[in-house]
Amino acid sequence: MFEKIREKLKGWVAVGVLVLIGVPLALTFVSSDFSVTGSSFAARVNGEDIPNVDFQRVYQNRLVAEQQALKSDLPPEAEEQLKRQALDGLVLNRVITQYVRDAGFRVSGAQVIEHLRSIPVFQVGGEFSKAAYDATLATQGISPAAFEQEQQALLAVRQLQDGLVESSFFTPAEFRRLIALDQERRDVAYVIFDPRELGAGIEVADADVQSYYSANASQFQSVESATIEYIEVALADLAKSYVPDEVALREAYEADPTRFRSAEERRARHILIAVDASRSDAEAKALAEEVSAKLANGGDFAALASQYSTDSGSASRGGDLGFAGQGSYVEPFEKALFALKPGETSAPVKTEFGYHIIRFDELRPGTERTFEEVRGQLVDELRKQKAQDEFYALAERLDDLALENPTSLELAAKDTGLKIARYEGFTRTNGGPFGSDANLSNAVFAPGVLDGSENTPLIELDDTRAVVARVVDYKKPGPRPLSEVRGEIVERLRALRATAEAKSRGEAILFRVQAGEGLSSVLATTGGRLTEAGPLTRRTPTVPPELLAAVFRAPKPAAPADGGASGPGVARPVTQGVSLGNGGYAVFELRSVVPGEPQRIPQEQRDQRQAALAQRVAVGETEALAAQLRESADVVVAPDLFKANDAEAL
Amino acid sequence: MDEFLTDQQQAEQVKGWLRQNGAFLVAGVVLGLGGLFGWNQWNQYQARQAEEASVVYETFLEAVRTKRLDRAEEGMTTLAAGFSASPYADQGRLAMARLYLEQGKPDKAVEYLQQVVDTAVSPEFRLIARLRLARVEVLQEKYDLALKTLADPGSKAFAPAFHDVRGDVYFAMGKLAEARSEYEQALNGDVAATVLDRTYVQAKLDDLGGATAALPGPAASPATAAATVPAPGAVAP
Repeated sequence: MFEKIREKLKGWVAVGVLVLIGVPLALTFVSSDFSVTGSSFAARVNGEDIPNVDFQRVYQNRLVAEQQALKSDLPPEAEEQLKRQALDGLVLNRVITQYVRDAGFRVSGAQVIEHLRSIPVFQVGGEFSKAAYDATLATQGISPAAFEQEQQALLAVRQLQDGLVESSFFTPAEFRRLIALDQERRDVAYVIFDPRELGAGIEVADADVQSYYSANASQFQSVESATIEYIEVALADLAKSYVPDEVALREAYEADPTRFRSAEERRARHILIAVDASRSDAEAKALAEEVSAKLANGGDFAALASQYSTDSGSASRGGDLGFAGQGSYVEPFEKALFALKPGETSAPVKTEFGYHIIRFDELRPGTERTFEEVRGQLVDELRKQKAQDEFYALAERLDDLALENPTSLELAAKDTGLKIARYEGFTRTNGGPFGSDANLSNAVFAPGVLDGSENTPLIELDDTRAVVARVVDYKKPGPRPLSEVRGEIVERLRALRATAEAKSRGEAILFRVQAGEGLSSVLATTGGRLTEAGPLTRRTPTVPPELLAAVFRAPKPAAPADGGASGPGVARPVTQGVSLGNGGYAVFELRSVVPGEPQRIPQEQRDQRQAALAQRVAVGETEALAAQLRESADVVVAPDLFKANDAEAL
Repeated sequence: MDEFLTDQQQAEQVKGWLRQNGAFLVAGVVLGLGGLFGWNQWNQYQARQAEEASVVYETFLEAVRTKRLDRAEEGMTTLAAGFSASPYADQGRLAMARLYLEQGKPDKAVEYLQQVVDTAVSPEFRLIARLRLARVEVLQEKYDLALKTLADPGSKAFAPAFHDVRGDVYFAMGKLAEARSEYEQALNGDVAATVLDRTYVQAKLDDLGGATAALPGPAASPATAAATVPAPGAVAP
């Protein structure tokens, strides 16, 4: 029964019918599927599911972006981390959406529409365009209803955020204090003892190298390594000279008749006068003849189609049915159409739907690429196929031979005609010609393989390369000889001593300054160049960061005990020392501190800055709100989402 | 459905299933639709209320943005009277507080913030309002009140912000050791950097790191604090 309907309903009516039948059927399938795969969620947030598909989409997008940025695959830990980030983001979003919804934030449909109209992507020439809207959503595969619902939720979240920002403030006193600190300037002079300069003159004795080597033996270990013999099968090497015979080529050419040929197609228009509840056969026929007569008198087909045709889909396109080949229409229709010449219009034709007036608009002839035209392409295809077949056959054979003759690869090489190659210094992280394939290194360093009593099984490196290997020599991890690491140790010792030297020089100077001498006069006797840095801000880039931080942490020079009687600006400078990140040591003299002054900032900038600070406060409050919601949310992560079993730790 | 059944068999299966379950199906649909209808009515009422509040709020917000106090007050009255349980009423109060603060009327700001602290449905809103209230109280030099307002929030997420503002209160009081301890605690938590301007809190802490050492001890009153600590107000010419 269904078979028959399908046959007859190809073409324009079929679409409508399929929708009618298809929807209830689809519903049946969906509901019955749900009971089977009910655990398709990635996480459950306060009882609501985040579907696994949503998670996968977000995760895959991030993964692809990351891979493109790095131009390579990510290590598993990084993928794991991306997964967690993607999930965290989704969970947080959901928690916030729930909060906003439950608290009673809700924007009206009109507000949603106003928002949509303001989005530039949906505009053409500055005006909202329904067509652009539909088209954009279609390319994203989102239905307007779903999109609008999403936007409504989003707008509600924005109302919350905006509300907190709009009501946020930064008081004048707060502003004065912030500027005082933020724009504070500290007048500083400093001297730096550079370990590279100091280290250059330091001699390291052999005995010291020797004792450092013995004391830190664990730091000078080599990793295990192996010398391997291997046989590799590579797809690229196979079937290079294979030439398929004519019979095979012919067969390939004929295998799929539609591949190199397309049948002719006809573009037709029609006007349908349906026979239905409202119109009897005779009435329909009479009307069809009347329309036919109007056409004969020069009536416009398209206009008449939109006026009379009961096939509403095509009527709106002037009756156009588009191109279709043979077998697309019910039989009487097709017969009539194929009897016409291009441009001709038929008399009313009766089908099971009613009466059709058919016009044949255009013939698109069938095309054919001849055997000779596609011969080269077919040769390539068959060669590839052949190589593929050989690849699998060889790989399988190799696997068998390596297993059957565990103590040598000779036989396998002889049998397959492949060559044995050799690589020295194979380690877990450096697999030589094989990169760092984890499967291969695990196989190579497996116990039976390491002692030479077995070959590795066949390891597929990717779809085009496979390898078997055996270990012919193995070096255990162990101490690296002193001769190999001497240079390294000398450098380390030199750096250590230079750092100590820098610090002791600095401290000696500090000691004398604290005893009452001035920094510059001390330096005059000890050597060392004083840099007059002038007033530094918290963001001066030219000063080592550790020094800058220490300068701004240092106590301010106190006013003299006589309360300024000895004159202004003669506070005793503060002198301190600080170790630097590169092993150096700095001694600095802080002479004066000048707080930032809001008055020095132009009014307009001041207002902007104050507004930005108020906004920063609101951002903090919003983030705290989100963190609080996240913390008190009940989140269950699907147990199979992460390979590791620490999913609950999220 | 089994792909290998013929269409005929499929049709038969469907018919058979309908014969067996038809009555239940109809009863279920009727019951379900009835329930849905009631539920929908209630939901729609709720949604309409919320949407209406949302529209009133947007108009109100426009008045706040343009700093038109009379119209903002009007909108606030509507929000408070008609939609007291909606979050828009609370958001309105927060906005009114800012408006009054900018008009130099911190007392009115305190009034609105206190309302949110006392009556907001959302506990998170109450915490946010407490932070803001305390900052206005500092402006009014009501330090003890501010410290009371900043009592333990009972939330890990809000703790850093509470410590930070408490540090500001102590700083204003001249209690620099206490201030330093609060800033240290603000920076201590493992809460994301986004909840605080960490750089600024660190700067406040560093600033005290040396200053206290140079001082004989915590100042007794705000007045002496201003004299010994280079507080912003004191250094301005």
